[in-house]
Amino acid sequence: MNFDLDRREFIRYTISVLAAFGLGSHSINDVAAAFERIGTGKAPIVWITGLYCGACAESVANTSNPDISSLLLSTLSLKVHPVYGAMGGPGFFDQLAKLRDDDYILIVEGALPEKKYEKLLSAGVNNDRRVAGTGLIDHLASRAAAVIAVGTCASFGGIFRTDDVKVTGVSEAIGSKNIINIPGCPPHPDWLVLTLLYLVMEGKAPSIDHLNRPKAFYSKTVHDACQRRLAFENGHFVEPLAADDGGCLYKTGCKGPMTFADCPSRLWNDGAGWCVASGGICIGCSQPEFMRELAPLHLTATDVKLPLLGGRRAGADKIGLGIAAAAGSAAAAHLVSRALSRKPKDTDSQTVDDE
Amino acid sequence: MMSKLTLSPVPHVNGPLSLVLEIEQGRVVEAHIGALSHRRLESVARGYHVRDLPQIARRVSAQASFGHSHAAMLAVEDFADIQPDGYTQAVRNLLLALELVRTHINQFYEVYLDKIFSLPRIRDYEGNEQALIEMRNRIKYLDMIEDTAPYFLKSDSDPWLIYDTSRVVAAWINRFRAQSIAKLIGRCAALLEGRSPHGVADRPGNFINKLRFPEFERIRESLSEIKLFIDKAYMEDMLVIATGPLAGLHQEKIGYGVGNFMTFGMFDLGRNDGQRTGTKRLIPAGIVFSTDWKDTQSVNVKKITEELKYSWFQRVDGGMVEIDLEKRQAYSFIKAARYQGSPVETGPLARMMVSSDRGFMAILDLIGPWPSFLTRLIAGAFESQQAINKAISWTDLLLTSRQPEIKLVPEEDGDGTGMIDGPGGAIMSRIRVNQGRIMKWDLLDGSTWNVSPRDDSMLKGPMEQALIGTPCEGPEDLNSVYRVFYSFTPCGLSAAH
Repeated sequence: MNFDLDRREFIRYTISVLAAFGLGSHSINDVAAAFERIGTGKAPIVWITGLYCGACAESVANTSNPDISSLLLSTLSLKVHPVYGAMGGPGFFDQLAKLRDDDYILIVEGALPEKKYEKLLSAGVNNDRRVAGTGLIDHLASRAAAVIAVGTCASFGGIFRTDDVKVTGVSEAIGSKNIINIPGCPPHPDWLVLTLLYLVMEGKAPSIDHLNRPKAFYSKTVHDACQRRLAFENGHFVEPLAADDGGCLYKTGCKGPMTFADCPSRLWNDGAGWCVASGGICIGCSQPEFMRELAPLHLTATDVKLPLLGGRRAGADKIGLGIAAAAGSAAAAHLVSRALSRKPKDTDSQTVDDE
Repeated sequence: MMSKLTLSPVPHVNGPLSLVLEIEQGRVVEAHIGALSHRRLESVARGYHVRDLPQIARRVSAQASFGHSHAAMLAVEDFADIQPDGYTQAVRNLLLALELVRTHINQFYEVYLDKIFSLPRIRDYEGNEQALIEMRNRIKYLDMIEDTAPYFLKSDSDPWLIYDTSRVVAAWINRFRAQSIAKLIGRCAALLEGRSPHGVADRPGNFINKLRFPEFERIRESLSEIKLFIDKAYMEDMLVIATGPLAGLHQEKIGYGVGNFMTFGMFDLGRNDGQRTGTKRLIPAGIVFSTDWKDTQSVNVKKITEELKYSWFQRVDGGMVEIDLEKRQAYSFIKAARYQGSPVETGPLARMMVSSDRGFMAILDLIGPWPSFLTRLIAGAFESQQAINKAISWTDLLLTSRQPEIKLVPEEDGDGTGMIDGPGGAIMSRIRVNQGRIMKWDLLDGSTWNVSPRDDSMLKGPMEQALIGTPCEGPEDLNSVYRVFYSFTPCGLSAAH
């Protein structure tokens, strides 16, 4: 519990990460100075929730280098948060009223309902009136130095989308394009914490893709770096209803080939594991389609809308091709399609169609 | 002179809640607790394949991610007539035990600590432990720039707090250790189901992950570390509290509640002969009325009702429930869950009461045998200790070799019910299935019982009732209100879902 040591280690770690993004010019002093800036309350963090489940915040609490106490004690000035913030009632709204324009980072966790159903989401009661969550977020976003939508719900609507009530991500709900999306259900803590550090260090958003996701974390598919990739190349698949023998899980419903995230190389919970390592499939939780368009999760994905291909729909045999084309690699496309056609057992007959 | 106090959002709780109190002569005389957001998860689930239910149920709340998935799996297995093997039950018990311990530790050290200790008193630390000096200076600095909200609010005049510097320093140390323990629990869960929160290895039927020896060893080692923390830090802190100033509030029976306690049981141990859904449980299901724990009755699902008079819902044709956002007298998105027309409390204290746990009852005899905010805290610590001891014995089962039998969930019509406790209380997950698709999902969470609003006959929910009589002078004197409130480990998200 030596904060000083934690901090030094953390700064070193941060520099190495920033270097990996091609930002290698920072010295320890630069990073330390940036932390001092935000540690004194100059760049407060405001964490507001929409329709959410709390997993994004809980995931971030699992962060290492720094751990959450170092972050809160030394790095972040967390003004408002449903669980970590001790401010409730009038104090909550006072904190928000004290914020100065362009001086804070707004983090939104959760999806937002359409205006007609705004009563499904109130942030609290101020002066005896319920405060609509969407309106509050819109107001705070318009004044923030930067807005981060954390989680698939805040990014794209996520699991709480329904047919009758329109529930969307923050960007769509408030009509703003300047929002950094950190999808994942939940996202890996690094994805948010490192993006925050980048914002503070550089004073600008990191390089993002057409879905406003930081390219550093979302430019490759889960399938690309999967530890079972060799099994896939060799045509060794775990069959539906068969025990896990280390084969590729594509036929048991794995969404790795169409999911953009770096889970296989980053690993979860301090390297303890990740979904595919545990024998569970990649459920595609960082994708805009999560979860309705990817369900049933246990069935082979046969008809999946691929956002990077301009919304074109692809069947199972095309998925490898499509993803590889999106990554701009004809050679990879060749490998993927070959792996799918060179199998000891027939795969296509095992493919169960979505109803 | 009566005054009214509105506190919304309530801090340190997931899901925006509103707490409206009426105060007279320094005591709470009326209380209304409402949930202000609703995600319509039961509607969300409609149309999904029934096998997806556990993953949807996880998103009810991160706090009880596995607990909800667990109840959903039981519902699907009931529908599909699948009986998980002993290995699978051991894995689930282990995950449930881990979630339970994490919930209690988080609630105690993250939320409750500054309602027990005067945390700013660390400024008086004069020892020469370098790490503590560093921490003292940091807290002093944050106090100076008024940036301590994540840790404590200024509250130096509360007579029920512990002010002794050495105790306060110990509390801070344990708080940081608790954060590492919570992370360690996440790592154990990730070894079993990929990641935490919202792991993915849950599926109706059997658990298929092959746990290799190094992973097994890591889990065993972690559990020993967690056990050490519970035995040496958590339980000792509990002893300090039970014999400290807060015992005085317990004597006044603050946070007594409705006196009815229910649990659906916890930790499956195997099949009961001849019953499709009946399983033996380490903590058996049962219900106790009017704190008469010598008379435990069995739970009858037909006696469970959900009343809507004060909730933003209405019943439409066919018994379906829909939102009614303009309803005038309503103040919550939580339905009033009742058993035989009575409000009932669920959660750790209910589990201890119903099972008449001997060790717990012995402690109760020492401090006064009635429910209060304090007995809820002690019940949480007590069951954490029991759960971790059991979890260590369950890990032995994880190295046994077995060939898991994996069954198909049939794409037929039917229904299923899963009833089991999660950390926060009794969860019931009921499904109606049409050709393998979810037609209707009914969910009742532990917090749906505890945080429920008034019912059709104006009876208060358990937490509303528990707040009556709590000392409170006004908006600057909310510590005891919070003590009662947080003792239920409420979750606004689970409650309203």
